[in-house]
Amino acid sequence: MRHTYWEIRGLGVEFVAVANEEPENHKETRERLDLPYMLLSDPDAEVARAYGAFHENEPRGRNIARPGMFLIDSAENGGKVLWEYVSPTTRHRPPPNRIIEELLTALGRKHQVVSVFVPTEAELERVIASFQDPPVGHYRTPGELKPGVGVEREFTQQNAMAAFSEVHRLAEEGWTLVTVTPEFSGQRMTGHRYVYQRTLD
Amino acid sequence: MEVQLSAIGAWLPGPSTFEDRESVLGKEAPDFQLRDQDGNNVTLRRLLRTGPLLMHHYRGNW
Repeated sequence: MRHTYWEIRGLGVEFVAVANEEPENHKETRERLDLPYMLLSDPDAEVARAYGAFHENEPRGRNIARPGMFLIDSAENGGKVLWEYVSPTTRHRPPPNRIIEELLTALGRKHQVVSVFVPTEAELERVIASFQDPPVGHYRTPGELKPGVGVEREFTQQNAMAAFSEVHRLAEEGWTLVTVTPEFSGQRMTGHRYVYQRTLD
Repeated sequence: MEVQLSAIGAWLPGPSTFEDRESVLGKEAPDFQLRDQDGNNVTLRRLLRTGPLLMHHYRGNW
């Protein structure tokens, strides 16, 4: 959810993740994975139970939380659950594009936001150098940039070029640039995140 | 936590509807107070003051 987080924030929605982990473990996870969002500790799965995201009688007798997502309206609007998704298995989760679509619908939004991360050259070289076999030419696209759909991409050399041209294409297609935010890993700037918005009809 | 299923048929749209759970859709979200990764207490009420919230419960280690 690390990249999708920025698109969610672009909708004016905050994102937090909750799990049965102690805060120290969450802190380590957050630092190790460079997560931009808050991790909350739900040690006895009390909150998971309250939201119906906990399954008592898993096979093999292990009680476990299922992945679940809940969109909750602001306090001003009454704090109601606008959308929920609870996984039928312990691992299934909606693809990021679909999450954004569901949020737009549930919030009754008229605008859509897309974010593109463009790495710095130094960061790109650093990432490629860290692979045994640099993935030049390998191209992974979990989502296609098309109307109504957000996109997140891992970057390789080829992708970095695509990210640059994507930023130009969004501008040419009439999306409004909302923010450009530098991103960091510790003290090191890794690139910029461009957030674009357009009105849905 | 980062497992994704890419096959189109694997995505089940809409709110989850298996019988053994009570849906919270449309209800006031149950309040909570939990600690964040720095040990600070965080309440749902406070999180909702600034806008809507997407909360992701994921599989922890048991």
